[in-house]
Amino acid sequence: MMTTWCRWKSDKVLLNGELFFQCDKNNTEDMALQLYRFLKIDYPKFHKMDSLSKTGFLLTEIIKTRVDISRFADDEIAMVFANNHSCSETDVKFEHSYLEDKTPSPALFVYTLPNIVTGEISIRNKWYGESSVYILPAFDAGFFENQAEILQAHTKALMAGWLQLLPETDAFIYFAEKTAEEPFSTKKILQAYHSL
Amino acid sequence: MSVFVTGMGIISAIGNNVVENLSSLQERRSGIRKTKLTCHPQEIYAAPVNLSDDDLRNRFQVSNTPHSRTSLLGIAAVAEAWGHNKHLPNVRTAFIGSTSVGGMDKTEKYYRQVLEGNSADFSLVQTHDSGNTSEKIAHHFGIKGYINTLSTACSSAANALMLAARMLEHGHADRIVAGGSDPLTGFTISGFQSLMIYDEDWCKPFDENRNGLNLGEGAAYLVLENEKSISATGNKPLCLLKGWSNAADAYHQTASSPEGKGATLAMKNAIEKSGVALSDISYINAHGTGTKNNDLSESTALQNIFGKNIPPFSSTKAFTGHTLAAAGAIEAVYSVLSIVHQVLLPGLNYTNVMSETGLTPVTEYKPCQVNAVLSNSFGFGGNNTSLIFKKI
Amino acid sequence: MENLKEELKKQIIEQLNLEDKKPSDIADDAPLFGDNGIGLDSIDALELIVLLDKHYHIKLSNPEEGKKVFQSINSMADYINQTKK
Repeated sequence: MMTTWCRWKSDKVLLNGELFFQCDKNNTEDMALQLYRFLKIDYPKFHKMDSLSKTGFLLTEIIKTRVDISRFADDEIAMVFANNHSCSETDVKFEHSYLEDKTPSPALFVYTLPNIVTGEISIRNKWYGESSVYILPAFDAGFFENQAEILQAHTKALMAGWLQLLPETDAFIYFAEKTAEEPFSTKKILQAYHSL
Repeated sequence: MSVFVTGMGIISAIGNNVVENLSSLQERRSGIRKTKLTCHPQEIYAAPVNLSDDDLRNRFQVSNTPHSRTSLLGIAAVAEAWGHNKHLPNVRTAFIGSTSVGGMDKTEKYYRQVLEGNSADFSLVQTHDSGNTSEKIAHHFGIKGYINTLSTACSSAANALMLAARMLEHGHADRIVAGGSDPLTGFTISGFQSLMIYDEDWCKPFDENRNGLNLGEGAAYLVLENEKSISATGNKPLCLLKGWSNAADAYHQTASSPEGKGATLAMKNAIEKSGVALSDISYINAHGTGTKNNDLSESTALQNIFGKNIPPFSSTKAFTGHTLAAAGAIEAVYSVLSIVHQVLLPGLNYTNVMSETGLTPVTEYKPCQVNAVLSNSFGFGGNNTSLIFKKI
Repeated sequence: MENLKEELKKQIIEQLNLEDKKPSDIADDAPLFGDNGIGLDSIDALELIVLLDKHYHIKLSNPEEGKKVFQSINSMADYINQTKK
C-alpha cells in the first residue's frame, strides 16, 4: 500500500497532495539547491551529484520527513526507479569532456549510469536492500503496481517512482509498505501522478 | 513453480555463437588483444566481436532502418537463443533487455562528425536511447507483449534474468527472452581510463599483480520458460534458474566495500532462495574484473559465505573482457555450459596468488561433477546480483 | 607563488563542485583528503589529475604519486612549480 508520495513537476513539489515547496524564481540558485537548503540537509556529497541523482536523493529525503524508516532493517527497503532517458543529460556532458576537451572527467563518468541514483541513496541511508532502474517509454502506473510484488519475503517496503528530467523535471516517488488493509492500486498512483 | 532455461545465444570476442565460445573456453583462447579501435585514439587491450555492423545486418537480415551496434549484437544473440521457437497463442512471451551504452556507439560517431564540421548523419542519433535498443531486438523477432529494459551497469543482464525469473514465478508470462548487450565505445574506454582502472596490459583477474580491467563487447540472451510453456513448445530444458538476489553495497559510487557487504548479501540470499546447499555449489563464475578493488572485495565476500571451503571459482573476463551490461548474461551462458558439459571453466592469465587471501582460481578446463553454479555480477552504484543455476 | 595557490583553490572549488566553499575556506597547508581536511575522496583525486593536465599540462599517470602531490595546496603548488621548470 502506498503510504506517502511526492510529486515534483517543473517548479513545484507536492507531498501527499499538499504544496511542499515552490521554486523562488528570484533566487539564482537552481531548484535542486534551493530544495537542499530548504530541507536543511548537511551532506556535502550532494553537490557532486548529477541532476538525476540529486532529484532522486531530494525526493527520498522529502519522503523521509513523513515516514519513520527506522522501523525497517537496513536491507528491508527496496528501490525501483524508471525514466525514459536514462542518464543522457550527464552522458552528453561526459561526451563533451572526452571528445571536445580531450580530458575525460572521472567525476562525470561516475554518473553516466542511471542506477547511480540508487547507489547514492543507499550510501546516504546505508540501505542494503535490492534496487533496480528501468527505461520505459513513458510513465506507466501498471509497471509500478507490478513492482509491488517485490514486497514479500524479505523486502518490507519500497521506495519507487519515475525520475524524468527531460524536457523538464517530471518526477514522482512513492513509499509503499506491505499491509493487509489496502492493496496496491494503479488508480491511486495515477491520481497522485496527475496531481500536477 | 520452476524456471527452466531452454535456449541460449551468445556473441562475444571468443565466438559468434555458443559452440564457438565453448571451443575457445576449452582451448583457452582469449579474445582480448592489443588493438587500435576507430572509436578511441590509443591502442589498448580490448575484446571486440569480429563482425562489423554490416556483417551483422547481412547475417541476420536486419531491416534497413537505423540500428545501433548494441541492437545488432543483441539480435545476433537472440537469433541463436530463439532458434526455432514460434509464437503460440497460449504462450505469453516477454522480452527483457539491458544495456548501459544504448545507442552511444552511433551517437559519439555523430558527435565527432559535428566536431569535424562535416555534414553529420542524423540517423545516428535516432537509436540513442536504451529502450530503443530492446524494442528493435524484440521487433525483429516479433515479440509484441511485455518489453522492458534494465540499466544497472555491470549487473544489468543478471538483473534482467532475475526479473524474468520473478515474472515467471508470479505468472506474468510463460516464456521470456532475457539478457543484455553492449558494444565497445570511446565513451566507456575513456571513462574507465579516467578512473585509472583500465589495465594497459592484458587483465589478470584474481592475480596479485592485477592492474585493472580490459573492456569487451558482446551480447547474450537466455530463453526462460515455465512448465506450461514447455508443454506447449516442446523445448528441452538445459537446466534450472533456481536462485537469484540483488543487494546494495551502500559504500561508494564505483568502488566496492572492503568487507564486500553487498556481494555477501547478494550471494547469501541467492543461495537461500535456491534451496541449494553450500556444498552443492560446484563452480562459481565470479565477477572478477581484474581491478584491485573488485577482486579483493569479491574474494572477501566468498570467504564470508564459504569460509575455508570455497568451491572452484574463476573469472572468464580474461577471455571476453568486461562486457558491461552484457556480462551477466554472457556469464549465465557460461554457467549453463558448465552444467550441461559438466566442466569447470578456466581463468586465464593468472600467475601469482593474491597475498591478502591466498585463493587460487581454476586455471584449466576441467571435467567435474557440476550440480549447481553461482554466477556473480557486481555493478557500479553498488548494485550486486547473484544467480544460481542448477542441474535438473 | 601566492597567485598560483589562489588560482588552484578557485580551480579546485569549481572542478570538484565544492559548492559551499570559498578560496578563503581552504588553508594553504590544510589536508585536502580525509575527514580532518577538506574531505576530498578517491574520485576527487582522479579529478585533480585531470585538473593538472587541463590547466597546467602536467600528466600524472600514477595515482600513488598523486597521494604525495595532492596532500595540500602547498604541495600541489610546489609540484607544479618544480615540474614546469
